[in-house]
Amino acid sequence: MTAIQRNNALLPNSGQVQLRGGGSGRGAGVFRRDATGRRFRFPADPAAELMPSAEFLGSEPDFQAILEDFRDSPLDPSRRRVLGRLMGMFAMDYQGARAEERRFLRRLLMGRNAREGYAANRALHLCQIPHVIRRTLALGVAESRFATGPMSGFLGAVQARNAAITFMLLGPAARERVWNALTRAGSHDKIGPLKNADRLAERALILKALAARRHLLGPWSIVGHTALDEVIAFADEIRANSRMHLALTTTLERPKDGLTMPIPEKVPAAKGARLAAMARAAIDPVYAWRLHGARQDLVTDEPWGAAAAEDALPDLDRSPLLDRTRLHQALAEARQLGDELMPLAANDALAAHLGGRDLKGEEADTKEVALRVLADRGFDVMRADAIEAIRDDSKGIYRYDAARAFSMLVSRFTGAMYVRRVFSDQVTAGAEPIGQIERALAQGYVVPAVLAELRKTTVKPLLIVGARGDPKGKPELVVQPITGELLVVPAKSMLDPVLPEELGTRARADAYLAPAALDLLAPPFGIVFPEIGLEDRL
Amino acid sequence: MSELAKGLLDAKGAPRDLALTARATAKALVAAGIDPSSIDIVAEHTARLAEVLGGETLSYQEYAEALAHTASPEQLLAIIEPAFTRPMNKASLAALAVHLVDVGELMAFAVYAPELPNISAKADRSGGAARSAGVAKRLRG
Repeated sequence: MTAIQRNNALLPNSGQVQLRGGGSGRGAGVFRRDATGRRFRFPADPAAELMPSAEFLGSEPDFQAILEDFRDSPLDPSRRRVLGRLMGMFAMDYQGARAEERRFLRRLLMGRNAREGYAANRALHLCQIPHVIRRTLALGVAESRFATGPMSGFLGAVQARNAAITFMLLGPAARERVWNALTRAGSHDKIGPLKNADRLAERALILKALAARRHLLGPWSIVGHTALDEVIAFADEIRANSRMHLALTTTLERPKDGLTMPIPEKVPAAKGARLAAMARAAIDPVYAWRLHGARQDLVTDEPWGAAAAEDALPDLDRSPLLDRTRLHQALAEARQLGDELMPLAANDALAAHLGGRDLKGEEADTKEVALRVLADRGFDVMRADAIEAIRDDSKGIYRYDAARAFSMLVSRFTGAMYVRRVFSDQVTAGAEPIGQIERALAQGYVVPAVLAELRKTTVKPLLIVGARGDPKGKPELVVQPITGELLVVPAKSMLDPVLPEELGTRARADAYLAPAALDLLAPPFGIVFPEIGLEDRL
Repeated sequence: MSELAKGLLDAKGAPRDLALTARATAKALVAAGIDPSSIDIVAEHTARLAEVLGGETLSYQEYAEALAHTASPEQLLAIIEPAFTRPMNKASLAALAVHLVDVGELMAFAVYAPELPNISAKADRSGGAARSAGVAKRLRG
């Protein structure tokens, strides 16, 4: 139900959306006459912290710049109020962006499926995915697979987000292999990029294939290598094929005008098997490609004339800190299995070592056990030298973004990224943290929080799962400590110097993770089901 | 009797509130050591199946066969099976997908939230700690 709750709460009703003068481009004049005595405060929408321009929703003075070609089109924000709000979010990006980002945004808006492409771009922005991956995936969503018929692109917005997160959570060796496959897309080994190949479509399909195998690529997967090999082999097979051929052979969908290729004979006739094939082909392009016989239709060996291709990939970011999230994923999943995979003591010792603690004696040896388990049984978890780099970071500058890392781990399941907010900071800024938490709960999100105990350096996690009122009407929060059952505490206790004893010894609420929604299209997986109240409100 | 056997939709055709069932299911699956991402992928296939189902219905046998390639956990299928008291239509299958999304979310929090303290752990920022690491070490010469 939370999935439905989120959908209906996030975009309540297009009539209720306040554009605040934005959307038409006339807002700036109105706003200049408004009182200017704004006091400093944190933005209510956590998205603003992940994407600063979100704070200026719909009130940008140069809003028309991005929209000049879209008057009276379905993208005209005065017609589509929710989309107008979204577009406002990008107007600031557009103004400050480099030429390539401007060209990307214009291309995105020209796509037949621009609406979903925009939702994908917003979600990928919030994920803080590398720009080149974000642009590739957003265009893969926005530009329809076929010129006529179905509007959908090579992948959907939620698939795009899953693909990006799957890529970011890969281990270092797998990330390198996928990056190489993405780099080679649409090019000839000797000639280089080919004029008539569609690198963007190939890359979108490679990343979609990755997303379809996300459950096989975890840190303890025993079939991770096989799954990855399958993706890389697929990347090689589709390399430099014509766009039309790829469009037809990586799906079972067909344009309405009955163009060319029939549905392959391999698709079973029996109802259950046929439906299964159709569903699977919509998720996994490798499966659809194989159903079509994996036949190639290569473009001519005509080199692409441009000196520096705009869609050329930069060098892969090989920062060891990128391995840390996968390492935490491995430790969390190992802990779920008790001592079965990795002794809990070893797990704790390695976590403490990563956090910068100096281990001695037996504890140091136990940490080595954890490292051995990771090396022997893990699937491409981290590079050997990453541990010391992560440790140095913990002890020094601390560039690792914990809220983002946690978001990476859970956003596939919750449809949200999280922004860390310290209770006391919010109170000082007059931002009403309890109100924010209650709003997030009303929208169907769980709010993770961390508790600090007096004289202890480690913090304790707490999940805030619901809000209600006591018999006298005073607000209460339903919370779940990680080890224990649900508890009900007065909402205001979150701001007290000491929390109720059930939550720890002289514990106080330190910070909470405010959710910023990623899924603007109807969950689950961006599919609309009006039958059960899941409607597209974008 | 399984709560899912009572149906996923109420008399008006709206999804029933299965929050408590989802919580119990998630707890059981986490205890059994099931990876949340395996639930996520089953939920996605279920949603896609519902999307392509149109006016047809799907029996449990057909559903299980459709999921065979995902290596879905037996424990999960055992929990889902009672929901198929009769072949499911599009609305019921969509409601099942939503239920599985909820289960996956609860599982993800159960597995990953305990790691939150380690993810956000910072070393003691004393002068000694700073001098012993990273940039500070190089600055010291």
